[in-house]
Amino acid sequence: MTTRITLRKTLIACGVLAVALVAAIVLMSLIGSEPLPARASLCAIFSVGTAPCGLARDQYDILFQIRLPRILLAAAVGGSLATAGASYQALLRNPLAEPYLLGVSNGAAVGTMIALVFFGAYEWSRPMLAFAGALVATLTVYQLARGRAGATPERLILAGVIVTTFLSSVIVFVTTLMDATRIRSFNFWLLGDLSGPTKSLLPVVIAIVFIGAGALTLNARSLNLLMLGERDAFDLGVEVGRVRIIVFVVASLLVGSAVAASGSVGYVGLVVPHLVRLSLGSDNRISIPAAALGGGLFVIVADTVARTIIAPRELPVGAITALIGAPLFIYLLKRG
Amino acid sequence: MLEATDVTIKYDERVAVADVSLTLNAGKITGIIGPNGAGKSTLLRALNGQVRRSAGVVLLDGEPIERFSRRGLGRRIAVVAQEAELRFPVTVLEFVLGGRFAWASNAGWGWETERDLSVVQEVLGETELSELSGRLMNELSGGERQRAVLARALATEAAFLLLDEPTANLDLSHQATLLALVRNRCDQQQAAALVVTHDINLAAQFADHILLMKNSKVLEAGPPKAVLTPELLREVFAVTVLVDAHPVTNAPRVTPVHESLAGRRS
Amino acid sequence: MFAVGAGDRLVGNTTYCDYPPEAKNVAKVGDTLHPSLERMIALKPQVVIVSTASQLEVFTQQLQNQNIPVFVTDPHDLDGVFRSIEQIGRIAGHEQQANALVQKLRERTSAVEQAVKQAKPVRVFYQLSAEPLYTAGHDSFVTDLMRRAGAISVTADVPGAWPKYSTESALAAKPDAIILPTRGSMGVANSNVAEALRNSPAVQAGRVYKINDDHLVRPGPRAVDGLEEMARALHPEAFKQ
Repeated sequence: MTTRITLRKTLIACGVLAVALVAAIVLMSLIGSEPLPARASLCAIFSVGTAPCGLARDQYDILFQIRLPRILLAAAVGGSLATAGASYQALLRNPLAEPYLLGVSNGAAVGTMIALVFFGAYEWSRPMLAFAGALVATLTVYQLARGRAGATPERLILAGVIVTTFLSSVIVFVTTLMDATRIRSFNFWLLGDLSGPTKSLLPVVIAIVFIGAGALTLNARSLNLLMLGERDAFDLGVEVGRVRIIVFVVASLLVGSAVAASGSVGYVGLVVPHLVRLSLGSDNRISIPAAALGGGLFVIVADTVARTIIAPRELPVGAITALIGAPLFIYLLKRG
Repeated sequence: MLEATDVTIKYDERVAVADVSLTLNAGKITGIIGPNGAGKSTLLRALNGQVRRSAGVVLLDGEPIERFSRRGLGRRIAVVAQEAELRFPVTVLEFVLGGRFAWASNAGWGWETERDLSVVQEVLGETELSELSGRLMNELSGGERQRAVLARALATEAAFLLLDEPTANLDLSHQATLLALVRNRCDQQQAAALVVTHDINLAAQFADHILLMKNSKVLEAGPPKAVLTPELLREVFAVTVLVDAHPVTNAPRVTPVHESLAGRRS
Repeated sequence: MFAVGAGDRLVGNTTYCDYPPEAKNVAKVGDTLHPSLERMIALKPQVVIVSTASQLEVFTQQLQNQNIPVFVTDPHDLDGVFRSIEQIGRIAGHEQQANALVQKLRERTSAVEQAVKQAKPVRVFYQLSAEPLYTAGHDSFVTDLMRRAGAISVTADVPGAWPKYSTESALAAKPDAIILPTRGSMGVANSNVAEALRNSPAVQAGRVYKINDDHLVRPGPRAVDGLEEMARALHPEAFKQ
């Protein structure tokens, strides 16, 4: 009976979050720097773009060429980062583990930068090198953190700080090689920006968030045990090495695709899994899919603020997530 | 039967366990005693493959343990270590359900079955945790928590229980309760247990067989009465002891006698 | 400095200073964002001329602490550019040359203004970079250049000099022409119109103009070259005869 309660809880939680996510996608697409007629827009969205419902050509383009792709990207990026955060936290037994904090986002950023500078013509090189960068950063942090008694949380965070600062200086070094206007756009991108022309990357990012969240959810029971100690998990039958490789590779893939599309949006991987665990408990079979949906929701809302608050100018979405995330995180920490 | 033969474990050049053999038989409790650093826990960890052996063989029902899958071993050998890391809030029920991982039909995904739940309910009853099953692990007292760790091991239904200092942080009554649960499991379900402990008297009371270890070697092995002699204990722990029979259980009772105290009362 | 005939009085400049070609032979103190204070002090300048395009307030402060006078130019329009040329001429002791230069520049400017006076102003979007989308805002002197060239910048009222601009607002603005400032030597950087503007009237009418950004973003005498280029591109009929 308990198992059915857990199953039902998972389905209810994910159902509610999925409905909220769809609602956010629809509602937030009505808000933007250019006002659109709400009723006609809703009609057009529900007809899945087949009927213009009286929208003018440019209004139709704004809705379907600009807003909706951007909102879908926000959902996919948020889902990716939150899922990666939740799985890092479980695997490394560290509630503070987060792609941004561990330097994984910076690794992906360096990869993306190399792709931009040297293989600018090939859009595909961006997610691929971002993935490679994220994976290298992950493994480096893990190796640095691993002492004789395994990776303690403190060592892990320290290793993350070292890798992050090292990669930041690499980024600074490479940006000095760029010309002034590109530095400006690049700094904006580094803070996390969803306005980039990622049309060709959008399906990739969406596919990866589904595959990644699915793959990690399939390992959720192993992660439940790893969360309580690597040795114990091994004793109870978890193939620790295999699960670790899966999490490292899948999470790097998630972070890599998110960063390649939108830069380093911080705090998503920290705040969302925390809120999810706080309200739904620590069972990863619930918290990983719930983090995927909740992350999408969080970034959609944050990006709506970023693109409207000083319209027609824009803020980087990372500034908003940090603004919401940092105080909330301090509050969570203080509450223990 | 879990049978270790000539097991040697080296860390770099340091030998932690040298040429140790032992057999765990159904229904029996084996105790390992010895001073800190004698290699007791390392030996225990080698029996389910957690620690890599440098030499020797470990056979589970006649098969080398390497032939078993990770989950296969998880269903047959359970380990009770000192304490779990509790950085995330989990309930007692969720924690104990972890013991059913190895029984999942596919590699770790899925939900617990009705059978998983009835097994867990049963061990929760056995360990007197039924009422606490909805509480968070980090809200429990040390004794309750250690019972939950044991409950999780019992929930695996493993035929072999390896307990590493299970009573280290427990007070007197909880120590006895815990080992009584292990004794029960051995008597009623023909499980075999290995208990690494510092508490010689506890080992004397509950163990059928005792290994006395010193400097990574087994010095003596046999029934408590044969191993717990003043001569051997002095050799291992460098302290004079008095060994007499426990008035109730008739097990050997070991009392350290400090030279400075001897003769004070007489 | 070269334009007012005082190039020989220049003891140092930055790696971005590449015009006229002789400027490349002057000692370099770093790029505009990362100048070397030590090298500047070592060159013993009588005055340091800083353009706020470089955003170096802290740096300016440090120079003043070293008792090196700093002259900051911060033109928001073409008149400001002219004023700063005159001021630099005065500082360098080449006042007459500077005034003559400005006189000539003013004549060329009013010639352009005269030529486009009759023409209908064109609604222009100035695309500084496509990803992310940056444009010229209210405080940029490029906005003034566009006005003088017979254009209305659709982003003329956006606060700031170089704001990041909403892509949907760019689409909704439906500009009739787009100006792409393109670096002569590194033309790839900004050679494509942003995706949101692909269907704009400007693109449909083929009115996308690439202009050497050395003539647009540098608040010097060459800004008038940029003005002429823009005006000719936007109103070819006005310059026919």
